[in-house]
Amino acid sequence: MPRAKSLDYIFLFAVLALSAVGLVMIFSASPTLGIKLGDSFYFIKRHIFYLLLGFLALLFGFRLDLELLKKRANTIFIVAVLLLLLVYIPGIGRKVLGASRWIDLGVLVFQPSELMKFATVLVLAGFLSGRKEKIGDLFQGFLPPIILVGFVFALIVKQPDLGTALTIAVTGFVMLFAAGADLRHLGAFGGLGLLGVLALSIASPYRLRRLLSYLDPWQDPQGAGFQIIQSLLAVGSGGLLGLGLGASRQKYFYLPQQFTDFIFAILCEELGFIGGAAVAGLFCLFAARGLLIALSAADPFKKLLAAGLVAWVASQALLNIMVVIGLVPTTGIPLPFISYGGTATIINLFAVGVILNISRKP
Amino acid sequence: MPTEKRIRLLFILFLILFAAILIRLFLLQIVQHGFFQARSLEQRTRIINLSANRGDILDRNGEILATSIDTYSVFTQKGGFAWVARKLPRAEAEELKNTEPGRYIVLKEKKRLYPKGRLAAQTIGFAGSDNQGLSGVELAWDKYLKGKAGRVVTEGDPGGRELYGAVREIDPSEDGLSVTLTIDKNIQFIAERELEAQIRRSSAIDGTLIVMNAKSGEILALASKPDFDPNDYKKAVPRLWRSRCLDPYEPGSTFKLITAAAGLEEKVISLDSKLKALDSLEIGGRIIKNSHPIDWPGPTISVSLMLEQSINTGAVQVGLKLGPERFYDRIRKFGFGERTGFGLDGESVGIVRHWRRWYKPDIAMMTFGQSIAVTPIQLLSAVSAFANHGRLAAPTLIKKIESQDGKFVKVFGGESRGQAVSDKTAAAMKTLMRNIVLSGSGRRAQLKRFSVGGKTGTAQKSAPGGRGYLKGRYIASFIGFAPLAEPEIVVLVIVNDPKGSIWGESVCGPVFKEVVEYTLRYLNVKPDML
Repeated sequence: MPRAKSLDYIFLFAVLALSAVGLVMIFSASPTLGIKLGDSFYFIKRHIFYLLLGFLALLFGFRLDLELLKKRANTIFIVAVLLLLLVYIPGIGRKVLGASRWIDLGVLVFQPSELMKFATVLVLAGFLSGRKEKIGDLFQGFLPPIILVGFVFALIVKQPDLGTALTIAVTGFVMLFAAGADLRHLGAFGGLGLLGVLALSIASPYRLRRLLSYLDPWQDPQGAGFQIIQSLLAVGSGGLLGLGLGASRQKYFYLPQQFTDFIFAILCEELGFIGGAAVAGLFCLFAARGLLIALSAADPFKKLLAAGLVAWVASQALLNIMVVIGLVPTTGIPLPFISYGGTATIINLFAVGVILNISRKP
Repeated sequence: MPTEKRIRLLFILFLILFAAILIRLFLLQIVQHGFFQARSLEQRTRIINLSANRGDILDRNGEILATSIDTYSVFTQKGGFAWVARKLPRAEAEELKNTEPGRYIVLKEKKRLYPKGRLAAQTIGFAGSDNQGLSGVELAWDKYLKGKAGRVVTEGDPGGRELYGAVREIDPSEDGLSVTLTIDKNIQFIAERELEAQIRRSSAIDGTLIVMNAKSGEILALASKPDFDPNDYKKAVPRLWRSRCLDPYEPGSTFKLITAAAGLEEKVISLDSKLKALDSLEIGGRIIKNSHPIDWPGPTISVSLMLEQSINTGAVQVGLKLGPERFYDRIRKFGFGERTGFGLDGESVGIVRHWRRWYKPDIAMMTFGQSIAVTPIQLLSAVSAFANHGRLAAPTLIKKIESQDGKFVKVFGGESRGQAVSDKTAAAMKTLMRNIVLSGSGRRAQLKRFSVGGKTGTAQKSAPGGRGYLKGRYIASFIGFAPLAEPEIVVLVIVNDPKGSIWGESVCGPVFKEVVEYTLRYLNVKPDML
């Protein structure tokens, strides 16, 4: 029986704290590039704007009728797929550094793959909660979600954006696991998936170099190993307490993507082990409270939706941090709530709104 | 319910990964902190060298002989650092840079310039492309000229810009001092012109001409031919870089002045002494002859005639009266066998063996300047004693060094190398030298309006490496001063290996005359003859 509860303030606190850390770090790390564009506050202004839109989206997600959301799940997914295809249409899609990931909306560049993360979680939650009994069945329960995720994965890898595609794949996998899929199916498919990723990595010389540089970045410190080495230099030179807020040295163009995918490295350099561990701890708190919300949800759809959204954000955060500290090969994904970015900030906060919605009306 | 259980499992998995992250952060930030900190510091440390401005070299009137100008060099960093072109004028460098925008970078560099070209080339010398003196005054006074390069150690980004709030360590550069020479560019010019013309006329190998202030020892001109253009020194044979005045040579008959002065000072002869008129004499198995047939006035000759006619056998008699020990001591008192330290590196000490190591004929040979080697500067200093009441002038090439802002100045000169002979001997030598010019071998050096004292020299060239002399090869020279009463300048002219007429008188006398005449007029010295 659903009963009204107060929303989860601890969960909200974790999100607000992470967003605040993000804003402060963008304040510190982006002016080096901003100055080159003629305005040291260029990215800060934009990020504040994105945060405002994000909190509107949070409010929207919080107020949303989740039954209606469930009904419209397929429509939303199809819209997301169409938007993903739009990026290839010249005049609408925008190509940056060889990657077609964005739709130009004038004031804002929209990244449909971020919406796709939400849409995939939504459609999987709907499908899996509707087939609870058949989940153990390979053909009726297990394979349809796998095919769906595989399709999304392929669409996004094509852009190319392996990081986002992997995030969606991991999220889908985690949702299947949470929904109670057969462990043998999961094991078999997980193994196949890993082999697939490995094959993909080896197939593209660019990815292969990244993979090799992960194993020994110092082999090619000016080439493939450059990004990870610069990241490690930032993290390592932070020490226990860091160089102090704003005092990063690596942000001066030694570490590329210093306020997007690798902002955590600058954070570790400026705030040290204490700061890095605190942010990791906030994500841990996010995951713990988020999964508790999922656990306490009575409705199977809401339960899976909450678990899926938390799994997405948490796995993306883990993946990003592990890339930055060299635990996994470099792949470009932003750190939720902290990295600079328009669509991601808005969609992440929208997802938070939906989770809070579930926390209040489990 | 399986879903709840699996969500809990999921959380445990997250916790494990969280723990892995914490451990990794601990390793990177605490355990390996020093390593990463050092690497990061190393890659952002920029050392900017601050070059010091090299001091100028000026002549005694402040004319610039060597200076440094701004030039523009072009380099590229695409595919590693490489010079594209160095030391161009600004316009050329900019043009080159614009041929491929973004590829070339222009850098300001100093270039050494010698505005007077070949003038005093070996004396001034030259500095290399990295502000290092390589020859001449540029080398000998490099310590003062080059200044002290400084540097800034700072933090930069990969594009070379300094970081905001970079920690800087500045070691400022100090500009070099300017060096003012005693050389007068006008006298130098005339000396070089006359010397060069004579070398050409005589088809000689090379030559030296030095004009020195008789009292102060300041060298007004130091010519050495053939020479080179220091702006383009790499094109010249390195042998030409060295001033001939640094190298020893056998002075020949000019050294008879020293012999006579030693005899007078030791009182083994006087102006009234008579020497035997001999066509030849034998010492230690060696036959000494005169270099030319003498028209003897009788069985004896005066000391003055010995010098006027440059009679070897007469000089030998003076030497024998002195004996090796006294002769040797006198030679040393004139400063032979020791460096004058006039201001260039690589000065020879000459060859003056101790008298205990002389072979029997050596004392005879030395009386007319063979079996002994001196540098032109040493000879000038020695002869200056006669012009200077017996006091040896200390030759100097450097007038002063001063900082470019004029705050530090050090003036050189005014020292003496000691008393070589008494005032009385010096006065007697002046008379004897006057006689040589008036009625002896020095007649070609006579000036209309100035009284001159001098001595010719026609030395046999010694064979390289061993003993003995090259047949028919001579070094012609003339040394003298003017005006006689209070000599203003001492001048030495040396022409190496003249063809045709080989005599010091005919080869060097006229050159001496031209240069002395010009110099005395230029210096506004009052003529002492009407």
